[in-house]
Amino acid sequence: MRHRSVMVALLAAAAVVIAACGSGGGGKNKASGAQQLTGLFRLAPGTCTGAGVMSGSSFRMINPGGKLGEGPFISNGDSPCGDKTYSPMSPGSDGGLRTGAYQPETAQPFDAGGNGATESIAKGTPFFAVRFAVATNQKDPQTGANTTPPTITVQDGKVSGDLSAFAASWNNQHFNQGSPKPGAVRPGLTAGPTGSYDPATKKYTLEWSSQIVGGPFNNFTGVWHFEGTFEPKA
Amino acid sequence: MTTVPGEADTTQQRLDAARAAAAARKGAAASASGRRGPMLAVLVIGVGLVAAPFIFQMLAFDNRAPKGGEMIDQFRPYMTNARITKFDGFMDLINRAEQSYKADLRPAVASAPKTPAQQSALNSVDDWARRWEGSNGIDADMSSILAKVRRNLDNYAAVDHLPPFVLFPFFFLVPGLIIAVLARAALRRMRRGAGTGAVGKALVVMGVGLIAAPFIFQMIGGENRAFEGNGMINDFKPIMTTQRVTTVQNYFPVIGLAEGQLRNQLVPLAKAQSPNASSPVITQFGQTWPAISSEFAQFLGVMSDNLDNFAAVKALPPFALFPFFFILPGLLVAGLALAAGRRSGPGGAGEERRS
Repeated sequence: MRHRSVMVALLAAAAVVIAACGSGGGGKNKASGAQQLTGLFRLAPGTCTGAGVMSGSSFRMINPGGKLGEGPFISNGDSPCGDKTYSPMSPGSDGGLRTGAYQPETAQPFDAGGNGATESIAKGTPFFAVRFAVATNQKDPQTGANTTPPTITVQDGKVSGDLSAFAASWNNQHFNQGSPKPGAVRPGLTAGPTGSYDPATKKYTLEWSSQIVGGPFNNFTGVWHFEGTFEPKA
Repeated sequence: MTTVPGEADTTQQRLDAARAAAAARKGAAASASGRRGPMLAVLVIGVGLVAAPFIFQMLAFDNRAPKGGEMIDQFRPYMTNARITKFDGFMDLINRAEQSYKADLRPAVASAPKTPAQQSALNSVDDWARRWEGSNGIDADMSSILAKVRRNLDNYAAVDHLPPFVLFPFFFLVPGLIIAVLARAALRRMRRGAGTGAVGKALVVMGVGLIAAPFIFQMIGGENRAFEGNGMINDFKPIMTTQRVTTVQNYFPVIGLAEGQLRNQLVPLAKAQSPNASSPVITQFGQTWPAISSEFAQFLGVMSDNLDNFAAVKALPPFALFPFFFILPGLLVAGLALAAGRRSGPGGAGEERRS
């Protein structure tokens, strides 16, 4: 009887070790086939075409009561695009979004004009006369809630993940723009991240939406589209 | 057995005295028992005061008192003459920019050859000008909100001078608890045949304290804070709704887009048409817009974040009634305690009971 108990305990321990090994290492979960992409999602800069439709990384915002994919989207008078509902984004000093680590906002998140001062993920994006900045913070500056470092997983070429740490700062205001939100909730139009990843070319697209909760833009929804190439952590 | 003359009389007298004392005690007990009704009513009032904060959901459930306090705190930076004057100044600047656009800039660029982007800018700014004006326009609506806020600055100050909202439940709970305990003690004394004594006097003091409280806090009299608060809540009812806040939120992209289109497209187009052309008011609007949008956004954020708090305060009984939630129980407690402290029958109705 006693030997049987010891045997069961050993088998259980072995199972735990095997499972742990399966999900670790190269970040690949052999059982599910999902692979964690830890590294840098380098941003391809957003560009406007003559018709106003753009390629590369961008931001849009949906009015309260709108729908994903349909809008109505608000027009940004500082967008250089013909379709001013798109605000193109450019890579910042880090080149893009890191997973597995935070890229927090600077100690002084705003300059005297209210422009977001953090430029590690992306350069400040002009938005209604004031530049917004983005960051991933361990403690969300809007809600004060703790977050988890950004994670992106790919399975069968499709990406998913947790971007609860992602936040925007604009005109002396902070807005959590993660999906899910801190606390693993997805209010309103908050959805994603979704997209694609090609392991051969390392090209990716990453899209998520995050409904603002509280503050002056309560119920507006930010729609983020990042694309470029993924650089695995060495 | 012989009885010594005089000894029988003494015994009889003692017997009579003992009977009289027993009868007096019985009468006193009966009298005290007859006065237990008012003291029971005092006990019920005490319990009622303890229950009031829960019945009104000032404490527990909706937690309306802390929510009201939070709202008062968050609005404090905006409820000043200087801040509202600043907002009025912003509105005046936007208004002058809109007039300058219609009078000077638009005529200068309307007939000029335009790129699609410039034509789109003209359409956007025209849309803003159209929505800005009129009795139902953005200007009228936002100005009316600011006017209403200005009209209530004194009312807000009066409410802000009240003790913190979070304490209000305890202004019911604590006196209610004391009154209930005292009334219970008085009832025990009365059951023993004793009077209400010092306990009764303490209840009278508690009653007077309740009557005095609204005057001390100037809820009634002085600044009339309860009535001023009532006026403010009534004035803000049409503003502090989700629908109204959403309407104001949606003004932002209209004005903000127009500002960007003026700055990035139409002013340069006018310059290209006539290098000497200048639009100082529109330029000033563009330079001030980040501050305007920041200040208004913060104010709007406070409005939006406090919709639930305002709804909680609105769900309380009207502020104007609050003084009477102290005065009426106070009158009743003092009056009933006095009534319970008097004895009827031989010895004199209306005579103060012994301790």
